[in-house]
Amino acid sequence: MSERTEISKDTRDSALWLSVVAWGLFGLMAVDIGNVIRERIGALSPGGDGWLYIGNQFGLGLVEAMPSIFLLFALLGFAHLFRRCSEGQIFTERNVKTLRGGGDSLLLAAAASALVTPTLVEWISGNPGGLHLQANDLTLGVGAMGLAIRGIAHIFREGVLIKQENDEFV
Amino acid sequence: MAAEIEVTLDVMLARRKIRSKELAAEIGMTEANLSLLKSGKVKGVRFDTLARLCEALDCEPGDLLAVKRGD
Repeated sequence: MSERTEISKDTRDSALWLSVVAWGLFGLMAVDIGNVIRERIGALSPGGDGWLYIGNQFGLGLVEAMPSIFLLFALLGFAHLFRRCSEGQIFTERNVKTLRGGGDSLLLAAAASALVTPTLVEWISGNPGGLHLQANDLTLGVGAMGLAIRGIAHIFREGVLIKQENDEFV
Repeated sequence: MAAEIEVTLDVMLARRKIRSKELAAEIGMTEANLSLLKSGKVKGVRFDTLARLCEALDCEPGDLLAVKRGD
């Protein structure tokens, strides 16, 4: 049985458009992450910094960009999801997995932004001791979106089961 | 063993001397799905599919389906 479903032109166009938007945002965010890391490395003195120091600065840049990196993974997943939807592959196990992964990425982005990045940055900067929580409305919102998308993935799975059953009728 | 529904479409095709390919094209169904139906490897048949089959083969639903009673 085919995984493709006949979809209307409107649905196809909307999904395609959302895929393009997700790819655009992916590109912008990738550039932004590149800038964060480049700024870290660019802060080095021109001549004599050792490779270890450069590596540390690169690592610090990655830690600072960690929330955005998780968002990047979420966007990548959504771009693929919408592209597949535009091709008529909607209620598939693969899309459930992608949605679940997208939700997880948003949850991880929120956790990284609120806790992991501030704590690691403080530790690397020589202020160890305890966890550093920096939660704000935005991180809570991203976390809530992650949870919501995980919930949607769960409901979507029911849709996949209904489609599979429906496909067994001719 | 519970009673089962048996698809006797192949008998009707032979009686009418129509090939599966021709029937599939006439009722707008894929050959793959028609083959699954003929072999009984489907969970069910939609009423509109049944109606199109009956129309194309000039028969009644009972000519395409039979009850296979268990012991």
